[in-house]
Amino acid sequence: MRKVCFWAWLVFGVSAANGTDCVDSYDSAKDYFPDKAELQYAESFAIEYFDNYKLVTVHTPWPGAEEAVQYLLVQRGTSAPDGFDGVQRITVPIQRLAVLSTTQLPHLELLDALENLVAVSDIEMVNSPGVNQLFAAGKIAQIGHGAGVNLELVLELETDVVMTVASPQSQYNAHPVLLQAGVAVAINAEYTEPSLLGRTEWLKFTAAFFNAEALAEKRFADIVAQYQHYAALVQDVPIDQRPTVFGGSLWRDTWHVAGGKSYAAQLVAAAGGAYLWADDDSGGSLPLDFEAVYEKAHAADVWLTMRNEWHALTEVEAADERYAAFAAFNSGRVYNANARLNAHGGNDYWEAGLVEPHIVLADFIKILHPDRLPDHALKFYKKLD
Amino acid sequence: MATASTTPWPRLGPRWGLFLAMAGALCGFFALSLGVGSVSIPLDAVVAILWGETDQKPSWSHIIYAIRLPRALTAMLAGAALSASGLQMQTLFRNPLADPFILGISAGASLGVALVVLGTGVTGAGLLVGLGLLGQVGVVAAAVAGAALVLGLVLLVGRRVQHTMTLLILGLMFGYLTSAVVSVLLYFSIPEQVQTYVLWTFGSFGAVAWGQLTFLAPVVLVGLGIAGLLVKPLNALLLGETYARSMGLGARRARLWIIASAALLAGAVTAYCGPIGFLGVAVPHLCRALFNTSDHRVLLPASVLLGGILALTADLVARLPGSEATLPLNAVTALIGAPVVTWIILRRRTLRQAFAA
Repeated sequence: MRKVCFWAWLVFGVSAANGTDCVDSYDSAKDYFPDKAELQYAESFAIEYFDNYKLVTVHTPWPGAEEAVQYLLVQRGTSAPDGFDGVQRITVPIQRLAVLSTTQLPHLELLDALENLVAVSDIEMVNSPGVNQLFAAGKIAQIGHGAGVNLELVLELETDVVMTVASPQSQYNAHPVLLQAGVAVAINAEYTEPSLLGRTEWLKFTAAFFNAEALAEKRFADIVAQYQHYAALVQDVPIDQRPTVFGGSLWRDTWHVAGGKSYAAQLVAAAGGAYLWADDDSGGSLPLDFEAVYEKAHAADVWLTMRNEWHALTEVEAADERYAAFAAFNSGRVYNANARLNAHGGNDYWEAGLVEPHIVLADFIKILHPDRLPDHALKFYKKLD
Repeated sequence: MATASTTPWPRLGPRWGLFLAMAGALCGFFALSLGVGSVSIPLDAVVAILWGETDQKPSWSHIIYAIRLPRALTAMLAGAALSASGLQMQTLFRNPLADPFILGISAGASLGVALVVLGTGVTGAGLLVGLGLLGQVGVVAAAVAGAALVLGLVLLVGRRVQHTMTLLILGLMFGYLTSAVVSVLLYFSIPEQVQTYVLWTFGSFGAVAWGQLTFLAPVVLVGLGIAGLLVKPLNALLLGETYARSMGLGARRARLWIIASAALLAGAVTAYCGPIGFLGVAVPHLCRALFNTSDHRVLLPASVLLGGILALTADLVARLPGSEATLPLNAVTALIGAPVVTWIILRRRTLRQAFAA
């Protein structure tokens, strides 16, 4: 069936000669996806497999979304199924991918698919050495953020898919702009995932577009095994020896505290700490005022925060002198997740950190129970002195 | 204007009763501000802490001294400053809709903040990228710089132009210009940056700690002092610039001082608290209605007192006593203020009286 491959070559501009990506003869009875993703933790997306296509459903493309979005991924060279009106059709495996969020880049590295990356939003926010090298070699374009995405450039790049993030504030979103121009879009909603490992499991979402499920399963199993290994180290810490932990910082006069079901709360619990807002049942963040946080956390043992601009306790105090009244400040147990910033302030915590929950957990354990993990060097967090 | 020269303000004597009531209310709301917050501290403990007793819970005394006290002082100062500034602008431009920001002060501050907060996403390399990492300190510095720049421009132009209306139009144009730049910056920014900027525009009194108060308070007091010395020229200006000039007033010099005082007041408050709307427009109107006069010897102290009261009230409501959450201050000032002002203005037709030309 040379004809099908020639058609694919015409439409997608990729060489079909190597034969691995292109189905030479379509057999409607064959299972084209012998390696299937099986989701263990992730709840906010699903992949259903059929003979020559898969149906990917993102249940909550953004927080509070009323409708799920679906993607019909059809094996290249096979005939697309009937029906599925209004569902985006994408031929897989894809060859040319643009990503609009740094959080999606580590997936490509884990799936050995970096050579398929054709564009990022803004290279200055990228930490990955691999991506930076490709950019330096002129292989990656910059297409801008959100609704300000450079549409002409995207069209010229002939992307198979643009992977994007959607927020409830629809005016900032890129996908309506792209879809209107006929560009295939995949909304990655990993941040709506309730569990930390579930968020990392979105690796399999990306993998579905590359038919790389087998590799994704293997990589994810490794991550989970390491996460569980670290968690086991502190499992036996008695309740009364768990250091109390609070987080966040003031933005103007509102202190956003991570909710009791947030990733941060999950990490503190897994690392043998007592999160002060553990009783809360929100996954997002709580807007509190200073005194509410102070009353609860002034005597807490450890303060874990994330402010790119803080590198020393003096800078914390300069931002607001009232921070100095916390016990954690005075005992020097303030840790900031800005150990890996690039020259432009791009934080690797929001990049590699997403596929390294085990290392983030190890950081937490090192911070809360240094004796349990003597050889670990903090990766994403650093102690402020 | 002919009638005005005979009896411009028929009832001149300040109403001591009303003033006393306002001063009492100010003290009351100030005390309430110290006693009420998202953490409930029993009243007797609050009193004991303020009395200097040290056997109370240390976290409570820190909450009162380091969080509630500077916040209440900031609210009072900001309310007074914006109201006095608004009063001066309404008289200078003889326009009931004028507010402290009419000369573009808040537009300048917004531009400064927007450049620092949003600039990183747009400019690529260079100076602004470094600034973008400064956070809260950077935001204040940028707002001060932006407000000061506009203040300087206005003063410079104010020395040259003949008509006050020219200034008004220049201020308006500057506002359009900056909001255009800000919206371009917003368009190209990522949501986190947009959020930081939007947070600043909501306004708040709680981001000012003692260290910043030591700067804000003197500036506001100096601004109010200058305003106090200007009540006579303000009264004359109310009757029109031509009239003021005919009375032998150095009209242009008076105008310059009025602008300087109003801009200083508005600029300092905007830099630290964000662009707080409504108070500056509403309080002068409320005072005109309450005191039934347009004499600035009455209106200025009244605006200062009432501005303080309303700012404290708005802040109290914004803190949602009993809950741990807070509301954006700017929403509260307008939500509780607009109906009150509407009611008063409709009941008493002081507008016509004050701005009759």
